[in-house]
Amino acid sequence: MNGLVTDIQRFSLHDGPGIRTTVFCKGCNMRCAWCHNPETINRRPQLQFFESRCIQCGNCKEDCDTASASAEDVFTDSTGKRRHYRGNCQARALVKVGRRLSAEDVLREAEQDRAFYDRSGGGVTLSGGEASLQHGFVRETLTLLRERGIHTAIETNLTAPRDQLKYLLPELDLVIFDIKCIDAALHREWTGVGNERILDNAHWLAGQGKPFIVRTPIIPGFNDDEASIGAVADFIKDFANLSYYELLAFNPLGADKYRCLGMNYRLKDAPLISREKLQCLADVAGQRGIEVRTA
Amino acid sequence: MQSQNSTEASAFTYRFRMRKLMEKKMAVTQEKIDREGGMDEGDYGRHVAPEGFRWDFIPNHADGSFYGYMGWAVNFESLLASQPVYVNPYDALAGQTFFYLSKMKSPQLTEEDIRARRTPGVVGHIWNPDFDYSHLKPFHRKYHIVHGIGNDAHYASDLQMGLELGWGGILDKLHRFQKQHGRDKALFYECEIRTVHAIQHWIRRTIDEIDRRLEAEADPDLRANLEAMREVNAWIVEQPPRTLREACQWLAWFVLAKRTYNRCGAGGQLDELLRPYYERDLKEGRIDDDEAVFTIACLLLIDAQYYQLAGPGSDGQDMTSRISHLILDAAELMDGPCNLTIRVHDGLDQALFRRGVELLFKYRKGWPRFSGDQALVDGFMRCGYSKELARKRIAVGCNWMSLPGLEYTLNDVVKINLAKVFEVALDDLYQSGDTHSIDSLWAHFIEHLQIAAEKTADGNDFHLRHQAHNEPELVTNLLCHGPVEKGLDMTAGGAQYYNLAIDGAGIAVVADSFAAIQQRVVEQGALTWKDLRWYLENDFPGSEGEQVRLLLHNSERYGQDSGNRAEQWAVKVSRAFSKAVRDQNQRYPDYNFIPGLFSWANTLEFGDAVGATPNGRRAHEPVNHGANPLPGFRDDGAVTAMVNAIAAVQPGYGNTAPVQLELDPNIADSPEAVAKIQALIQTMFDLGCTLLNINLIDEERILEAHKDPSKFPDLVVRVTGFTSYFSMLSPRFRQLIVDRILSRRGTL
Repeated sequence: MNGLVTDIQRFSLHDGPGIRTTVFCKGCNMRCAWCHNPETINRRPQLQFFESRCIQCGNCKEDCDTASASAEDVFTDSTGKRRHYRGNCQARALVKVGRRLSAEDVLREAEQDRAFYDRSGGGVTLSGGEASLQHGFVRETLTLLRERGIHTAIETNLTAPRDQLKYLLPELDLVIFDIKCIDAALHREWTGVGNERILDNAHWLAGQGKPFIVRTPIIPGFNDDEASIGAVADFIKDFANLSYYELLAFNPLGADKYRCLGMNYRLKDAPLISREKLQCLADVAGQRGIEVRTA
Repeated sequence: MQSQNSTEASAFTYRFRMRKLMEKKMAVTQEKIDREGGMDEGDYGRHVAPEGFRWDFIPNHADGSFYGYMGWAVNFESLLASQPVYVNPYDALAGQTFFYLSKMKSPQLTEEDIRARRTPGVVGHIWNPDFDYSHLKPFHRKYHIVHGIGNDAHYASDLQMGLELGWGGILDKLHRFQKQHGRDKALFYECEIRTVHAIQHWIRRTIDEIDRRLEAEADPDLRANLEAMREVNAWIVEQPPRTLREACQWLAWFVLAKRTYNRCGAGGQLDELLRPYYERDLKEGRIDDDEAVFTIACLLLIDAQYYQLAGPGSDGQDMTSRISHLILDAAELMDGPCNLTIRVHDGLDQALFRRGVELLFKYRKGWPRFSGDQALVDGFMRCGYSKELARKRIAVGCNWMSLPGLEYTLNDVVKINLAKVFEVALDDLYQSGDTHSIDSLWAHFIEHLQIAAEKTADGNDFHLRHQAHNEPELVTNLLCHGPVEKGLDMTAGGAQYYNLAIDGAGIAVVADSFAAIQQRVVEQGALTWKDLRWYLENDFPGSEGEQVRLLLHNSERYGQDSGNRAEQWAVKVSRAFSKAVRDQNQRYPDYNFIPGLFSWANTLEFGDAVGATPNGRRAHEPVNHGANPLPGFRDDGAVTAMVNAIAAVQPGYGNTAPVQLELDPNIADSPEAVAKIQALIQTMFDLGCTLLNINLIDEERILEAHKDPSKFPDLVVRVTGFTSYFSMLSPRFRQLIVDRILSRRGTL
């Protein structure tokens, strides 16, 4: 079974233990206002236009064929110009995001860094987007990796139906999931999805004997306060297999990606989270007796 | 003894003294920039002579320069007797370099001449014109060979021998062997003896300066330090050192002497050299760790020699000791450019390893570096040497290893521009009327590679037959096993081994070019051989040319993916290069030629000499760094992919193809991240890599410094194997570093 993948990133240091390869699956069921991987949201391949790379060669010029071209192959840039993707942009200014890959394809790339996994205790992390949306492909990939003795992890928003989690869990060595906030209404407002199933799944997962890491992205105006983080910490503090709780400071690095995808970015003017504030929130969580890390 | 903690409240702490010394160093660096402009080499700590100081060399040749034993001995003697002496009352050690004699031979050199001397294939001004090698010059130009003829140093002396003998002991040894030899060796011994006397005279002049300082110095702390400094120097001017301070002062004088003579920067296994003195001082209550650290920091400050720490001894046991850690403390205290290399092996003290990684990221100044014992030892053994000897071949140079006192190597000064060889081969294919095919191009490449290697080896042989009459190694001979005993210069039969390094440069340009032709011309037919030729000759003109260039540029690239076309070509090129170099052993059985992949700072010059290449590289753009892929080799720039590629092309005979890494300093921002970097380093050596240079790119700071270098006089970057103040680099070289940053950001 093939999956739709935006990128495979090697030498990842922040997606689980050791040196890892992270596979970014395309497609997400949340609409987080701060998402810094907007190219992973859409479940279909899509075009991205990097204006700074364009050499004005004219290969994407609109012509009589453009009207009948698939919508997936036409990009309207910031000036309103329609650019027709014909797969011949040598400057890689107009590119299609999303490759169909098999589990074997992923394995082949991942195995190139096996020596680094072995020394560092690393492995492969399936991320996204929301990886569990492609559960068939993800399960097949995880199985192959584990058969080769490679440590597996998933980064998930934990919205998947329980059956799907049960389907994936046996092939996972580690689960990394987000609890973005405890307040359901606020969660829905900022992510487009309620958190009831997430919290329920978290409770269930905590009883499965699998190690997991909980993360919270700290977003200005959403959850960058002691009460929000304290509430998450209270929720997870008694989970038996919690490896640690990690706070991820908001970063605006996705802004350029939104522009290249022709999308609006709601948080483009949001302030950065200061180191001091991040540490302060980490201290609040740490007071619950859990290990807290920041990134 | 002065305890750091107990005296912190008073002014005369070690930290305070080091601050004073660093202030002086910063002032000297700025003065160097103001008076001499940029230079693309290591910052060794050299001072500048006072305005108005003048020294003229004594010529002994009709061309107005000086050559040979007597020419060098007399001029070294004269320079040491004339140049200023340096004493700083805050320093534990006395002395400093002001000049490099080897660079003063042709004072009429213009900026253009100086550039030309670094340009491969161009004859420098340093060679004795009595020995003509015009028969080799056409080949040097054709293949853009850095021939090394007339180049000096670039091997290691046995510093241990110096510490054991002292200057007096060295003189005794010279006299002893002088008596055993006939008149034919008289010149050698006379010049060596005069060299030692010149150094001793320099030390005595410095002692006189200390005395003058003492007469005027009222501060009791400074007086006490000057008195101790005087006592140390008065002893070691004749006798072998007894204490750590004496040992450091002795090493300092030897280092300064060889640096003044011909810029030799090879140090040694510093922890093992100093350990007996430290342990004895400690046992006898003469020293504490704070004083040891300060004294060693002064040694590191005086000159940025290349020193190795840790690694297996000849018995395989790790050599890490307490003083290995203190040397890292000293580097931390000094906090300037230094060149320490930790040798990584299975038995390495993990605390030292971890500390090294932490310091690398904490100070972001390119130290320490790391070398890989396993590949270095296995490779050198492949040349026929024992494991014990291979372990003694330590990191004491920019990209190179050396057996202290045992071998002559021409390390890092002999290089073949593989990109130029490729260009000649492609041109040859087009001119020849042969069928245009990838196999035919490869055959032409191999043919020219073989010729380039032969002519390079011929150049090495020519150098060795005549170098003693050009520039004998009068200082380093003193601490080598053979020259004094045999009465022969290291270049003229004095050394025990002649392990001659020949490096290849530009491997990524060649591999990517073969891959692009294979993919775009042969397999896809997107371009004909004829079209390719036209676009290369015209440097991809216009919009259409740019499209073709990008088509080629976006072909599979070395470093992108294990086993892709480009990596297969890179491995093939590396093997062919190694074979071509090793084949020279049949032609010259007295030498052992060892291949490496390294470009040093010549990436610009090598690129300048080569027109547009089929990998989409425009004419005259730089070639790749060492064995690194070209910038932009992968979208994610994955270090692991780069390491896999470099591991795959290691030449495999004990010389290096270094990994040159540029990392975001923030990636090691936690204990877990430091552990991951350790694992990365260990893995790259497991995979067969030989040396790692890491440059932590504080990108914003470097970009800002590029606009106004004077605002950041203390910004240190690791350029290739050496560290340098960013502000000391020439504008063009600074631009190269900035371009690498922009490339990583995808904005170039």
